Amino acid sequence: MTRTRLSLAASMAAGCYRPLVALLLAAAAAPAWAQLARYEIDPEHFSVGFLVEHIGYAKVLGMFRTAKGSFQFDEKSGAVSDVRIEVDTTSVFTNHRKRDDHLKGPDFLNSGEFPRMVFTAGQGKRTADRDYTLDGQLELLGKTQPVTMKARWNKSGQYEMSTLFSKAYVTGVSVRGTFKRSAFGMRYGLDNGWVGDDVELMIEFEARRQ
Amino acid sequence: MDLHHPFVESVALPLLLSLALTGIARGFVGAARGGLAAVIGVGGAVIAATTWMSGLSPAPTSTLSRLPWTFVAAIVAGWIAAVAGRRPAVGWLVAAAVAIAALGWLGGVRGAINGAIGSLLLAALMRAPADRADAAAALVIAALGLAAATMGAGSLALFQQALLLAAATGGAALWLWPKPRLAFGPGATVAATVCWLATAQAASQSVAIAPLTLGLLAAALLATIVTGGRHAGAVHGDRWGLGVAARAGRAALLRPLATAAIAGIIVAAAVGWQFYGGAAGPPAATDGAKPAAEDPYLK
Repeated sequence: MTRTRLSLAASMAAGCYRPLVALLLAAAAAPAWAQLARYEIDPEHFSVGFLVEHIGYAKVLGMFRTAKGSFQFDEKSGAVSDVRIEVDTTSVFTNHRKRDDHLKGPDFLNSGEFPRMVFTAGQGKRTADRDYTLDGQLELLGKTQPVTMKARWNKSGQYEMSTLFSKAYVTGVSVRGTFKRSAFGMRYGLDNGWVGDDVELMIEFEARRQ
Repeated sequence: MDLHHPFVESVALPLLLSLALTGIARGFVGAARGGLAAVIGVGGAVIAATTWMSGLSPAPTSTLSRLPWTFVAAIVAGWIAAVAGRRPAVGWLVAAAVAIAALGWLGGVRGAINGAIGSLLLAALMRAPADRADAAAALVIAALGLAAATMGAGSLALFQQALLLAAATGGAALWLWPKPRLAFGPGATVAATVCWLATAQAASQSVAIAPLTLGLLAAALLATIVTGGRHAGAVHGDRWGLGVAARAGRAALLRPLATAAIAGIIVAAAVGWQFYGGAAGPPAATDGAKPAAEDPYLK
């Protein structure tokens, strides 16, 4: 083959591959939002607990046994957005039936009128490699107030207990925050110090990528 | 002393405030216009003690946070009834409208219907003699009964609210018993009754209180019909607090006690039903193993 034909063949080959090369380059330079995925919190691995001071003697540890939630998460960039956690206030449990009934009543959660407590946050702020601040809104007793939660991204990966037919990709998160119940009009037992104002929330969950 | 102790919030403060405010108001408006003084006493004590206990929310969202505002409306209605003077029908119409509106705001259509029914009770109470503490006695006993029932149903906030109402009404009534020094009058009756109706409505929609219990408690207000008596309006040209008191004598002392006793029997039946036959059911065990059916974790 003459030199001219060789160079012609080489340039033709390059021309054929050029679109493919361009495509590969474009894919590599794709913006981070392309990795954003929606996660649904697994209700079987979702714990919502709280601590409230009782007359200064000790804190009462309780939980909400029914809750659901979701969020958007880009593992590559670490961006978190569109967080929503919805708690069923009728599911409050402190291992004492009369206290649980009292908590569900009009003195506290008023579950009959307000069966849901909802936390929402738009964008999470990354403060460290795996730590986030979620500046959001908490809706409780018909009122909405700003509440800040701290979240820690514990782990993401193919779930060890995946079945043969479903390969769940799971992200595990720990969330902590405190709010004042008086900000939502829940004032019973406050002025005499019998029930504390600060409610510490502890939320642990595993979420499945959709 | 803990000024936010429930006893202070719900008994001592409203009782003393009502007693003092009624007396101070009587000094300004005079014994002849004792009905106005009683409205100021009862109304002022209820609002002040409620604000001290649970605050007054400018944007109420829940039933409990709306309740204090219904008390404000009740007191305004009582004031109108008091100044309506010799036109009790006007006072009753205003009170009925306020009761229907207030209970409707709390409980929607059902609340408004309860308000209309309550207005009929109010009409009976307003016919009680103004120079005796009959109406006040029935209101105090009915409020105590409501307090007991709401405590059994699981709301200490409503228990304190009803107790507060009993104490405020009782404080003003001490100016009427054992010796009448002013007329309780339709104004204070309207204010206290509409406050009671609103508290009962809040209880009916917030806690598991048996309808029969509430019905019996409301019926206790009608005890004044049994004890009866001629209205003080039959006495003319008298300055309240002196001459009438001498004539009233034993009736002023004993009739309110009889009213309280009759109301007390009805209230006892109401509270008994709430605790042992109504919605409350048997108290849950607090020590030892719970029966499986009661363990919330197993539900």
